[in-house]
Amino acid sequence: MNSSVLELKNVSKIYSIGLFNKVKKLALDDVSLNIKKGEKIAIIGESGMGKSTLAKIMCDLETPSKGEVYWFGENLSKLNSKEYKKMRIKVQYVHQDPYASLHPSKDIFSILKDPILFNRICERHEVKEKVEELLELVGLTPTNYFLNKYPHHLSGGGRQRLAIARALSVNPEILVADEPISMIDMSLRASIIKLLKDINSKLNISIILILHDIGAAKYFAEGDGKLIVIYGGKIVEFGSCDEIINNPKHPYTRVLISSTAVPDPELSKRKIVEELKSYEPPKRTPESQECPFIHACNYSKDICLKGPGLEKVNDLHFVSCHRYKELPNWKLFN
Amino acid sequence: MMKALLKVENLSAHYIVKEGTIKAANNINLEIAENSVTAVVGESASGKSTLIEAITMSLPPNGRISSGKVFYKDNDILKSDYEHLRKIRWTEIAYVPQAAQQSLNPTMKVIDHFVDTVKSHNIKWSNHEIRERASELLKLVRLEPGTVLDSFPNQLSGGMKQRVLIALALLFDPKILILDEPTSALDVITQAHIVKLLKEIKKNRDITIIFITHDIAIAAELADYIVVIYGGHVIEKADTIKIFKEPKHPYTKGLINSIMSILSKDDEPKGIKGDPPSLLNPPPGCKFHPRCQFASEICKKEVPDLIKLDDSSKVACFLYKSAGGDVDE
Repeated sequence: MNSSVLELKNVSKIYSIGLFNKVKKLALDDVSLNIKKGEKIAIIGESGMGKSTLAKIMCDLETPSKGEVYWFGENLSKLNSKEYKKMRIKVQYVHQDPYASLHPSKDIFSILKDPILFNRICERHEVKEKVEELLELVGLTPTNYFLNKYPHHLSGGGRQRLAIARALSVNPEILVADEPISMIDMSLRASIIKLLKDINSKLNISIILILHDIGAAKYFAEGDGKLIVIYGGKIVEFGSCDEIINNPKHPYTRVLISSTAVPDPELSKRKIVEELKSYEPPKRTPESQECPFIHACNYSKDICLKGPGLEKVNDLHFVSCHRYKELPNWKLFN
Repeated sequence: MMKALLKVENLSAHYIVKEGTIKAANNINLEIAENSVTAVVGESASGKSTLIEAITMSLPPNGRISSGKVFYKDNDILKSDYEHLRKIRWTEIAYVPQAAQQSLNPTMKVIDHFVDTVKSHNIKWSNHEIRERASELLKLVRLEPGTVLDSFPNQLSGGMKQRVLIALALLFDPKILILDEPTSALDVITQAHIVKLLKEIKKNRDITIIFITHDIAIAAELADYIVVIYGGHVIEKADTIKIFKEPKHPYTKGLINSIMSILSKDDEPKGIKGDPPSLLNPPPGCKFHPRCQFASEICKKEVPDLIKLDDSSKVACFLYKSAGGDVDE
């Protein structure tokens, strides 16, 4: 078994908003996770469900209101600043919008060179070699052509590749990417996901990918990857990607899968899309006890007023639903 | 193909910017059949929105229509005066622009949008009639009229705002409904919901729908015909089933291959190499040739014409002869 690189223990996040911060909003509700070295994990859910909050807490860009975060087995809140600095660069974050996350007046060489030198990743005379290696890795070739170009010379896809190269420049062990393809042209999306897959298998870096597109999540995590479905700040389903896509247990996961467009005009006519009771997002406060999906779920009963915990379906599959055994058999098409 | 309700002939439009001119639509020919659903598919900055804005004469101030004709019921829209346009717009051709989230006036209640639209078209409906009509339409898009009509836009979610706009567009029973990216800013579940609604609207009403999307998978679910646009040119036109079964243009093939779907098998999605062209400084010849693996010398020099392969499909690519000969892959 590989060692754990990132662990969350009962993490909750409460945002205070409104006048005098009187309104409390529960963004994450009792999330526990354990990520091993070299794993690839896709986190899916709709906007406002707590995906980004989760990603930020993983990277320590946001502190949890309750619970603990462990990096490489160490509790973050107990580290001294020297130890923290050493670990800090091992966890890297790729932002959603590559048009905003790159310095517009630095050329590509400087963008990659500066973090390497600042963190003393290698000797000064080796920097150029290292930068070229990174560009090659992310597919910005021929490297000589790109070295003195600026971000505005690149398309969205190129920029995202550069942002990934920059995150990799400090030899991280964990890469968290928050919706890296949502601002990118359709024809280039698959190649960015492919790049992240390659990085995972070549460099054995754990990659956590936040997505709202279940097709992209499947492409990224199929085989040995894992999938986390998050709703209303709670993990509703968790397990091996193949297992969840082929046999989803949570009513929300089922709706999510059947809602994705199928690129086949004949099959799409036979697709079963369940109507929900409500299309409103859940309103959760720190006092909320109920299952977050209760207001929309077609199967909810009184028992759901007390929120379910993650239950084991099998070794590779966990679901947070009281009634998952009573749900009809899953099928996507008529 | 049924009778064409809307016919676009050799339409070209460009934008004037500091750096030069952006040729966003070049020589576009289209025929939209009555009661059909047509999807205009293309990547960002391929000229999809320009095409629609040119058809409805709603280009931004720096946009110019350089040539072409747009026939609606045998009248050239582009030649009609402001008053005539005013009569057609919204009553016959309704257009829901992109970013519907920002299209509603934040200081007006939903019902006031309906009242405002009716008043500005000089239609003599009483406030009570308008309210009734609005409630009926909101029910059609599955919103609760009681609460929604008296809400301000900021009290509604993105999907609800999009549905309010669709209801508003249906106010005068238009013949043509044009939607620019109706689902792109929405979540998956809301997206599926809107697609379902549009399907119902199509089924139950005499309406022709044209919608723009960057997601060809959505087009598969909703459209009868697909028009693929690349670099400001129409490169392929066919009915939906045909496009997905046997895409002709290398770009269409690439686009379909790059879909990451829940059905796709291991390592199937590939994506297309290279970057979309800049319309400010487009490559000569076929706009796709720098990314095309079949590109030959002629592709670099000449722009291919849109040729007819059979009754329902057309393609602009030198790989095909208009007789319909298929080229080996």
